[in-house]
Amino acid sequence: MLTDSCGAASVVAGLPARRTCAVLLPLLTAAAPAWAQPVAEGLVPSFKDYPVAAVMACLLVLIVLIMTLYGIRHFMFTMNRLTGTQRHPYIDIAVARWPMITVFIAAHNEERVIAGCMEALLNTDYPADCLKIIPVNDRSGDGTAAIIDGYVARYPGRIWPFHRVGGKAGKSAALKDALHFAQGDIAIIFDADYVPGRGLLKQLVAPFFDPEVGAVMGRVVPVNSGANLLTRLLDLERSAGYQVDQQARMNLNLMPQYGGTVGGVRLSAVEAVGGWHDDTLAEDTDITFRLMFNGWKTVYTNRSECYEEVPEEWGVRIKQVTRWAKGHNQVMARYWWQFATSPYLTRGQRVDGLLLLFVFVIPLVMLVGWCLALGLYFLNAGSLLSQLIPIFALMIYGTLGNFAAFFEIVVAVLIDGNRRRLRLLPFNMLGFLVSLFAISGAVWSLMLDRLLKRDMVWDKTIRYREPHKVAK
Amino acid sequence: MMPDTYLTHAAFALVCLILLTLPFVPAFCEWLRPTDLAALPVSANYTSDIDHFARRLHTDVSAKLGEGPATGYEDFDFLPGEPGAADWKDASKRLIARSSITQANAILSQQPLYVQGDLRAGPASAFSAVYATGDIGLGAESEIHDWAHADGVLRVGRSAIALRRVSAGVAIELGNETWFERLQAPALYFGSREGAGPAPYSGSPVEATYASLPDAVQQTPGLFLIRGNCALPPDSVFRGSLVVTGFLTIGMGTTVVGDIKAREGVSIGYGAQVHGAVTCEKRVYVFKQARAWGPLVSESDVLMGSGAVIGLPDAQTTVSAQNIIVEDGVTVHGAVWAHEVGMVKSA
Repeated sequence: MLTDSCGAASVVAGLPARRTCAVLLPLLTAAAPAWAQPVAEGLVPSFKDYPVAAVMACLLVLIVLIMTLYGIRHFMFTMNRLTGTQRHPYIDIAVARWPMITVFIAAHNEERVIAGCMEALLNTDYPADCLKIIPVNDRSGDGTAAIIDGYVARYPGRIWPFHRVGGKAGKSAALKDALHFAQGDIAIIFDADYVPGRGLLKQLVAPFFDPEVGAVMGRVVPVNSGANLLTRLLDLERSAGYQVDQQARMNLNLMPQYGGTVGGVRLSAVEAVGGWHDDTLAEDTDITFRLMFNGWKTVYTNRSECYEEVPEEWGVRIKQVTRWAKGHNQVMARYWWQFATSPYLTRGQRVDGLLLLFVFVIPLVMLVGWCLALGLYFLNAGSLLSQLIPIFALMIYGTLGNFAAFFEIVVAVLIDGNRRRLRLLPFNMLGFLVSLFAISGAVWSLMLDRLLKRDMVWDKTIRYREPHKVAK
Repeated sequence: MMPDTYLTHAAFALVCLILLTLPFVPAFCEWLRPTDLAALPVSANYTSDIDHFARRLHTDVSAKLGEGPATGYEDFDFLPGEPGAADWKDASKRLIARSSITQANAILSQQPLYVQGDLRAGPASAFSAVYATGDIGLGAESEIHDWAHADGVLRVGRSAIALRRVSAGVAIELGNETWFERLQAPALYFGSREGAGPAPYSGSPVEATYASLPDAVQQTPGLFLIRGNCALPPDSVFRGSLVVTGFLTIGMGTTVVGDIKAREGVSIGYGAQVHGAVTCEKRVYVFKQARAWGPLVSESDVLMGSGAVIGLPDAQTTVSAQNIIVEDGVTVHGAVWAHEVGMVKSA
């Protein structure tokens, strides 16, 4: 018979007073090395006798619980998108006295795409006298500056270029410098590869009539989704991330994330929460969290859609994910405590925000979980593992949800009205595995960066589009 | 001969392999022979203009009359000179009237109708879609099912139903007990406006500051936040925007020069004014003679009392909510969008 400090013998005896302990014990102390475990003595090894295996099992159970939490979160989001009330409170504002805004186009070597973005902005239905367009040409070495200057000459008084020739590298640093030239309290930001539709600016500005709104985010749609398998998989992921994840957060009044492009910020709010930070790789996440824990709101407008390019090569994709992971984890390290203790947040916002903050740590945690599971298996602590198989299944589901859970993908793509592309869904395992290792590597690299006090480098995402006709 | 156990294991392995690889069969098919890889359509020219369909009809008519470029949708019938002779019921194509139509009886048109001039139809008329280059006047209990647009003034009598999009270049006048969804014009007049209406509020407001209110936190130089409910005292002038996490009550005759937001509800008192936007996650009450520059957005209901004015003639705005109830005598400059129910109520 097994006995331990919690009185495992009472489990066998079935004493009600120790029932809780009896339920927890198998989970906490089940694994032990076979060579040290008496055969057929039962499922529960002693913590005292098999400490290594027991600690490993405890960690694994903890990881399973975390993954389960993420799994539940994704399930809730998806079900909300399917059955809940959809919130689009500001989308109806079509007529108003529109405020003065400044649109920034972040551009670094963007000769292939910058003209398309400016052309689209000049064609917008936003009142021209309330619109200032600032292409932020950040140290480009190609024809970006010439293209911008060509537009400035052709449309005098409408485009105000900011040619940045020195200073700190990176989009956030360039935008920080450019923000000094903003006019009005609202800054809308696009990357140069984005092609905003005619009505998009009004849709993005409308939520700012709500004085509580600090940032607004629209939906990003891959324009080159059909280029190859990678782009098709990213198209599925993006669908889930916006159509389900972001919209569900909006519906539930949680924490939609400002994504740094196809969106905007209220400059007075940014100023109030400490200004624009240029020492981060994810200035969008940085500003989202600072706004939220200081009492501002972020808004997602699902119907404000805009095309973007997604990476067509795995190498580029890995670099992109690595940059996101590093930047996001920077934010996590900086603000998780302030966020957790903010007086302005509801309980739901706090939980959702913390889960969002830690999302780029989870792949590493998942990898650790896999190692623990394998280790325990080879230590012949499989009796517990076999009982946990359903939970492992959920754990895998939850980890996939790190980027876009399968369930979310399916629902999002169906809501978008596409059915047959869902056949590719099994291949998203591939994308998931690549992201898993890329993010884990990024977490490790970030730790080394901090340890060795290395500067983080901004890796620009490559563009694939043919140069715009006008630019030729 | 293999032992039974090996066969069993092999069969089990095979079944597992099939189960695991089965989902990849359609995946490989779709990868190698793509059937669905187009980017999600995003219309570059999408706007939420209310008169979108009206303008499309106008473009098609212009093409038909040789006054504009071809559209490919120019299949119309012309109404005879005498509208009484028109066969409204059996019309199979969209209709064009080359001159004004005035008919004391009801007109029931299931086809979209384009009128060069004014359209005046008797009580209980019904149109699927109608465009007039002049004014439109429909009698009591008339119905608009899809959309209506008048370049001039659009008037609808009492107890009418104006579903979906109704717009006008000059003004829209809806009679009492009329149901509506989405309206837009430089001026929207609700109800009969026959009564004298409530007396204008007369008070002498004094300057006040949010900082003096309990629990007020200054977020930015122009914005205060109050957690919990908040009541702005009557006959005061507050400058700056205000966010309230509870219910906000604006006292009689008080003026707020800025935007306001309250999560649990807003009450704009008799004769009060908001020179800015009003946003709320719940119900908004706009009492008699109150004014708001707008936009006025509620995720629940908006109730507007007689004599209330939203928007300015030279600065049109939007009122949006799930349900909007307006009393006789309300004026809105701009657009009104009731997602579920919009109704004009007798004062």
